[in-house]
Amino acid sequence: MRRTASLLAALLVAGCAASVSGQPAAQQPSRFYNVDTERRVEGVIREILLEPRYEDRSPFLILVLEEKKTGQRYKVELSPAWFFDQDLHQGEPVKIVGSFYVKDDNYFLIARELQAGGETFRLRDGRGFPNWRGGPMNRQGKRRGRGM
Amino acid sequence: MRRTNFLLFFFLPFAGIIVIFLVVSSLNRAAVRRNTEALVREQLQATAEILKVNVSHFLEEGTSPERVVEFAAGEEGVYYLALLDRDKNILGWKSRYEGYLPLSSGDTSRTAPWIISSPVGSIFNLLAPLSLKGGESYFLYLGYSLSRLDEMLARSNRNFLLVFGFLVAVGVIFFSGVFNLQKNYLTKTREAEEEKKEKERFREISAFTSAVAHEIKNPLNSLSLLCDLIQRKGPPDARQEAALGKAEVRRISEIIDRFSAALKPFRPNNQAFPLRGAVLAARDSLAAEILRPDVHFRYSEPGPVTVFADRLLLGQALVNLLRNAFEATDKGTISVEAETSRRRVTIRIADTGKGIPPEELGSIFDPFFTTKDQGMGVGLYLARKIVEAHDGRIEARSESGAGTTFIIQLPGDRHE
Repeated sequence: MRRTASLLAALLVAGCAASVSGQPAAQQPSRFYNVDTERRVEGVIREILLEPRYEDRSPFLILVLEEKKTGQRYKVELSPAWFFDQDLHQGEPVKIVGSFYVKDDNYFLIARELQAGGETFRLRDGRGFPNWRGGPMNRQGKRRGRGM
Repeated sequence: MRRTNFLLFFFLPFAGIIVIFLVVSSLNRAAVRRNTEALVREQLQATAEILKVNVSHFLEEGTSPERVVEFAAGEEGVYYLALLDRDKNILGWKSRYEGYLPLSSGDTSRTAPWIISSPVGSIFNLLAPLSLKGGESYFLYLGYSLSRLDEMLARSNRNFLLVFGFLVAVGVIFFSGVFNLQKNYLTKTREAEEEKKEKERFREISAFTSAVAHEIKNPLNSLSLLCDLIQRKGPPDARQEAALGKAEVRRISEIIDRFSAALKPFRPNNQAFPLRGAVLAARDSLAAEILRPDVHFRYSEPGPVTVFADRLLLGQALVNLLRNAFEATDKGTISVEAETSRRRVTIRIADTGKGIPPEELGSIFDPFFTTKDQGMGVGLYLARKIVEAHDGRIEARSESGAGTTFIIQLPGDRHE
């Protein structure tokens, strides 16, 4: 019984150490929201881009984030540009919950929740379903990006 | 039946019926949902089998996993689709929703289909193995829309709520109606019992009073005769005193007569007659008594109003009410308005006098209630008794300083 408890404690410590190490926890090869690779990161916006995603349906708002703990830089995919109506600025600190994936040896993050300027923006639900579905007319509705 | 008993008797069975309906309906809907879901699972699994055959065929032909996914994801009702290798690594995938493929490591060990909910409704998920002729094995992950099932269940819930609401509304209306009927019946029964008791008491008092009046009036007659005798044959200085004594005896006799009259039950001898004549006769009978030059009298009616009543009794009631109005009015107008409909005759006697204080308004029709120095308090009481003896109603409305209105409602002329 005591041995089992020690083993569990060791596993717990190892899990925590992995999650705070600063490296993405898993290497997700495909660009979809995978709850297994979900992490909370904190960093500073270094660049703001608009890039096509998902069969060029609509330009996406992309942040280049410099992670606070590791200094590592990677792109964070937020949402279609029309859905996100809050101004973000270079150098602004943000907290993001999202799912990592790897492409061409580079890390990317698909954001589910973004905290910036004292506000929380919900971009996807717990399983990664995009909150902007419903089109631009839904922008002012209950699924809009601005949250809490 | 007491209110609590009534609730137990009617509302509890109704509540029981509603609860049974809720339980049966919920069980029934749950069963329908289970069976429908099972049916849909079977159907979607069959569809998935066909898709698997097609995917296997393309893979055997050497088509790349990305191209296979492109082709297969175009199927109607497919929200997302992924092709996985034997180690369950994703080789290709496609989704209608940007970046949405809800396949986690916990799901890759599933062998049976599962359903997840999403903002676009329930989604049927299936992770099925497929083997090619060459021995290679893959897994196909599918997400099918269950929006039609959701719509059907939503419609079922809506219909249930409608039926439930209708049942509750009908039940509430029905039982409220029964409750009110019962309440009215209880009130009427109580009133009838009270009326019966009052009549009994009244009969006893009436008989007692008649006997007392009879016993008093006999010696009063003797006393009156004695006063007469003294007045005629007594010493001159005693004659004036005898006249005074006779007047007092007459006054006592009148008081006894009025008390006796007030306690006698009325048996109206009804006949049809014009109301106008009765009102004017009542006014004329008061002319010598209390008509004042500064008080004007007015009678109005939209057309000839005929009442079916005892002329003498109604005349007495009108005299009493008009006397009351004249006594209360120093200056102004006393108006009598009459109107008739098929069912009733309404007479309004209004004065512009000092009015009745609100605290006294509820007692003015009580016997022997008076605020006047010389009054006996039988005038309005008699008026009420007479009106009620005709199956009518009388009420008074008054505003202090602005006058009083008596409203009499009598059954309409039955000879019309």
